[in-house]
Amino acid sequence: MKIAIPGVLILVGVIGLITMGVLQGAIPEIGVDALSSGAFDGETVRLQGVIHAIETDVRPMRFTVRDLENREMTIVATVDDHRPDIFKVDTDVAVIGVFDAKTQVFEGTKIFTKCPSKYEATDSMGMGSEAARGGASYGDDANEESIGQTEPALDEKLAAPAVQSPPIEE
Amino acid sequence: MPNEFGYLEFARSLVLLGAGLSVGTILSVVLGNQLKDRRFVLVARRTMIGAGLCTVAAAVGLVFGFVNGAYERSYIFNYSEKGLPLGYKIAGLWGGLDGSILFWAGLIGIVGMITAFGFKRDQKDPSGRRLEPWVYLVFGVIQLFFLVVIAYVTNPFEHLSESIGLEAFNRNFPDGIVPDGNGLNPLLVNYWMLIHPPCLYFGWVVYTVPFAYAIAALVTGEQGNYWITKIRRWTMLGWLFNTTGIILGGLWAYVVLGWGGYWAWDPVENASFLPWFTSTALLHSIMVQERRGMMKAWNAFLATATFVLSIFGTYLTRSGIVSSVHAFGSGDVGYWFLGFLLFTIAACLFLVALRQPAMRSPHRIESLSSLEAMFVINNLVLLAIASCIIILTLWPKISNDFFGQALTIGPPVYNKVTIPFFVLLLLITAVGPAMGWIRTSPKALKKNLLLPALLAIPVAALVQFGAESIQAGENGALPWAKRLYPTYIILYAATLIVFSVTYEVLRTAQNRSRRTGTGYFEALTTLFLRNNRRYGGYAVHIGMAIIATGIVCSSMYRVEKHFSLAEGEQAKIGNYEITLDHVNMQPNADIENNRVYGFQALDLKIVPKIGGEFFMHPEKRLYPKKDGQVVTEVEIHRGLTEDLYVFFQSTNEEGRFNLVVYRNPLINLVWAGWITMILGGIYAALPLGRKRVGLAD
Repeated sequence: MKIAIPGVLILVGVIGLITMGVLQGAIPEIGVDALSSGAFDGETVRLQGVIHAIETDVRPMRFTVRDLENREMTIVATVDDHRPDIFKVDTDVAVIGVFDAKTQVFEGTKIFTKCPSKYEATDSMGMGSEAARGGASYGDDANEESIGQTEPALDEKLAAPAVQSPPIEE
Repeated sequence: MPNEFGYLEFARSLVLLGAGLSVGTILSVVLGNQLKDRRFVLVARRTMIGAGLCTVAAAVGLVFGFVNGAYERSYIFNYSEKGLPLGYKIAGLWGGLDGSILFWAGLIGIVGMITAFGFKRDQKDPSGRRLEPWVYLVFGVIQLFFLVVIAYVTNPFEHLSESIGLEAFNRNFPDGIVPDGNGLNPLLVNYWMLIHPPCLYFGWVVYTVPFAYAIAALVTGEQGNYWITKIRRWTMLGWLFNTTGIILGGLWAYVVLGWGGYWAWDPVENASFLPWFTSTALLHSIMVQERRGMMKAWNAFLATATFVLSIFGTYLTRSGIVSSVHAFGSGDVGYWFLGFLLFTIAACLFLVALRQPAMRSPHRIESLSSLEAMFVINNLVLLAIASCIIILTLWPKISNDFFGQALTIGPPVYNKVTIPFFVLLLLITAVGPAMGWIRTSPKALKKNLLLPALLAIPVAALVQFGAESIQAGENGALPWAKRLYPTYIILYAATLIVFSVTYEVLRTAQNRSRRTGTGYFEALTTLFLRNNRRYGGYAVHIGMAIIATGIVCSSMYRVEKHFSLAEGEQAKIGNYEITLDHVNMQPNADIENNRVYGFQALDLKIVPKIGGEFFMHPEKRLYPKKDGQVVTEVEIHRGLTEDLYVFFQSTNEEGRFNLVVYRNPLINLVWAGWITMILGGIYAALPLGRKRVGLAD
C-alpha cells in the first residue's frame, strides 16, 4: 500500500499534464473545405491538403492548396519557413498557420510535406495520397491536370538532365 | 519472366513452407501437452528451427534478388537500381515495408533458433523443461503471423506483372526483361541507413524472447527464478540495440534532414521509443524479483508490454491512423497488426489475471526509503512517460473520434508533458545509489546523498554558464524562468547522477579496502570485476546524464541564423566568418554509374575567430529518376564544444543563395552519452562476477 501514494501522484500528474498540454497546445487539423466555412478564421490550425500550384518556391513560399476530397476547392497559402526538399505540385502538404479572412490567404509558419522514410512512400500524413486515392499511379502523369508552374527547384541547367527513368505505362 | 521458377520463386515457396512448419510447432506443443508426451517437444523444436531456417533463407533469397538486379520483382524494382553501391542494394531488404517485414521475420527466426539451442543445453533444468514447449508455442504463433502476412499481404517477391497486370507488363517490357529499377529513395542513401533500421529491428525482435518466456511462465505458473535469469540478458541485448537504433535514427535525422535537430516527436520516432521505456523498467524490476522474489507478475506484464509496444509501433506507422511528416505505407497490413496486437494483449491480460494470485510474493515493500521502492517508482515513471507519449501520439485520432475534431499535437506539447517526468526519472536515478534494500535510514541517506547534492549545485550552474558562454547571447538571453526550468533543473539532476554514482563507488571501494586490508585501487578493481552488473548499470546512468546535458544545452542554447549570400559575400555567426567563395554546378554528376543526379554545391570558406580556416560544401542534388526529387546535402563541421551546421535552403530570384546556419552547443554530448550507455550496458551484460543470492532466498 505504501507504493500507492507515489502511484496515485504519478497518475494525477499524467492526467493533469496531458489535459494542460492538450488544452494549451493542440491545434485543429482541417482541410480546405473546413477553412472556407469561416469557423476557424484567426485561429491557429494545421491545414492539410495537396499542393495545387506553386507561385513562389523561395521563402516566403506562395502556393495554392486544394482540398483532399474536393479538387475544385482551393486556397492561397504563404509560408515563412524552410522550403522542404519535396515541394512540388500534387504533393500532400500540411501547413500550420492562421487564415486571414480579409485577404483570403492562409498565412503559415510551418510546412510539412511528404518526407520519405524507410517505409513506403505512397501515403504521407495518414491522409491517403493522390496515388492511393486512385489519382496518379504507374504511367499516370501526376502533373497532367495541375494548373500553374511546377517547381523551378535548381538552375535551369539541372532541370533537364540527360537521362530519365523509363516510364512504365499501365 | 513472370512464370519462370527461379531462386526467387523458391524463396517465395519457403515462406509458405515456414508457415506450415510454424503450424507444426503449434500443433506439436498442443498435442504434447494433451498426450503428456515429451517427444512432441522435440518435434516442436525441430519445426521451429525449420521455420526459422526457411524464413532466413527467404530473406537471403530476396537479398540475392537485390544484388543480382531482379528488377522484374515489384519490390526490388521500387527500392533499388543498378548504380547503387552493394551495401545499399542489400539495405533494400529493409528499405520498404514488404522487405522490412520479411527482415523482421528472418530475425525472429534467428533469435528463435538461438533460444531453441539454449533449451537443448538446459535439458537438465526442470524449470527449463517445463517452460520449453510454451516458449516454442509463442515463437510458433509469432512466426506464423509474420509468414502469413508476408505470403498474403506484403509479399516482397511479387512479380511486376502481378502488381501492374500482365498486359501492362508485356506492353512496357515486351522481352520480359526489366533493365533497371526505380532506385532507393535518395534520402535513404546514407550510411546510417545501413545500420539504424537493422539495430532497431533486431532490438525489437530480441524482445520476443523475454515475452515468450514470460508467457511460458504465466502458462505453467513457474515460480522459480529460472525464467527471470534467462530473460535478463535477452532484455539487455534488446535494450542495447533498441537504444542504439533510437540514437542512430536521431543521428540520421540530424545529418540528413537539414533542420538542425535530431528529435521531433514524430509518430515514427515515438514508435521506436515506446518499447524502450518498458524494457528499461523491466531491467530494473528484474532485480527486485531476483533479490526479493517480488514483482513476478509485473515482470511478466512488462515483458509482454515491451513486445506489444514493438508491434504497436508497426501498427501505428502502417495503419495511417495518425498524421506524420514521414511517409507511411498504408493498407491492410495495419489491420493485421492491430488484430495480432489485440489478441496478444487479451491473452496476456487473461494469463496475468489467472496467475497473479499464485505469483504473489510473501514479501512487501517495507519502506518508501528503500531500493525496491525506488525501482517501483522508477517503473511507474517510465510507464507514465510511455503512456503520455501513446496518448499524445494517438490524440488526433482520439479527438476526432470522440470530440468530432482532429487535434494535432506538436513537439512543445510533448515537451511540456514529458519533461517533468524525465526530471523525476533523473532524480530517482540519482537517489538510487544512495539507497539500500528493505529500508534505508534517514541518517544513512543523508550521509550518502548530502555531499553529492551540495556539490551538484555549483557544478550544474557552471555547466549552464559554459553553454551560455558558447552561445554568447547570439539568439538573445534565455528568460530567467526557462534558465531555471527546465534548463538548470535538468542539468542539476544530471550532475547529481554523476556525483552520487561517483561517491557511492569511491565510498564502497574505501570500505572494501579497509575491510580487506587491500590497496584502494585493488579494492576498486575487484569491485568493478565482481559487480559488473551494478557498475555497468551505473555507467548507463552516467551515459543518460550526459545525454540529458547534451539535449538540454543543444536545444536551449541553439543559435539559428538565416543568410542570403551572393558569390564573394560574407556573413558572421558567433565566432565564425562565412564567405561564399564559389558556386559549383554539375548537371549530371554521377552519370557513369547510371545513378544520375545533378548538383549545385556552395563552397563556403569559414574563418573562425581563433584563427585558421576550413571549407564547407552544402549542396542540393536533383534526382531525375525519382521524379525530379531534390535532396539537400547538409554540411556539419563538428567541434568539441559546438557543431556548425549549414543547410543550403534555396536560390532566390536575384540569384542569391539562402542558407540556414545553426550552432548547436554541446550536441556531441548526446552521442558521447549514447556510447557511454552502450559500453555500460555491454559491461553489465557480460557473464562476469559472482552469482548473487537473492535476499528472498
